[in-house]
Amino acid sequence: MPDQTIVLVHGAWHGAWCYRRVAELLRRSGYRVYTPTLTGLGERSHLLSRSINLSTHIADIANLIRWEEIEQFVLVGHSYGRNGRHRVADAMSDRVSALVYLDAFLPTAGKPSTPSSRRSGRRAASKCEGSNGLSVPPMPAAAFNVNEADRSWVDALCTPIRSRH
Amino acid sequence: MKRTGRGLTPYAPPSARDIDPTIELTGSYRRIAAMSYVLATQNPAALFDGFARSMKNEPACRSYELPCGHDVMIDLPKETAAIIEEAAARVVGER
Repeated sequence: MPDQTIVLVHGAWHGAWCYRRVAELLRRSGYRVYTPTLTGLGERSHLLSRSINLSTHIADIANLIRWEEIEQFVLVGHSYGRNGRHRVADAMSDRVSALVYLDAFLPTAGKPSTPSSRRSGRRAASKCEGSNGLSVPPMPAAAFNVNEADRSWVDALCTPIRSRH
Repeated sequence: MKRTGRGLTPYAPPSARDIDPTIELTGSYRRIAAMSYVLATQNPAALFDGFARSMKNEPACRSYELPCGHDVMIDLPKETAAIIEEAAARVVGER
């Protein structure tokens, strides 16, 4: 049995729930699997507030590593980059034994964001007027081409994410 | 947890407050020995094609393509888990 820890970090609008199937498979193979839900999303969506920023999402991951006393881990990240995973990977590179990107933004050394991500950030910001600048509503699962059978399930579980901060 | 033989050795990874989001990345993440990049080839946004291409030039990176939408873990969980397991196994192989 593998004696390894895998930390699965979700992307925008998602939560731990999106990794349920993968986590189950990995646990069956004997891995220790953690699926932190970032503050303000999924089962922690009741905590959505203006105080959430990139530091909060860094802390969500870094504190998991600290309090679960994880010495080495495989870090898996999906989609958007401002979920703290780049900062955690950079600060804890000696503890990250492998880094897996799932259809994901890459970090740009020295640059926190790319021009295209800034543009999409501005587009997203323009969509969050309904929440008075607090959050960006989820994009429909169909826009990401989620398989048809799961689209309504994904749409039901996605929650607004704190807008760029 | 591997506690045996280590007693209560203080354990102190960098804490959240040691990671300042306003400072630039140091680039030390590039020293991570095993990296994998999975591109979802049926993501209509094609947002990540450029990232996938750039990772093909990274010697430490294994590149994959999954024929599904952006949420690979939902569309193809078995394939996604297998790729993650392969990354984990590479680490063991290199120890």
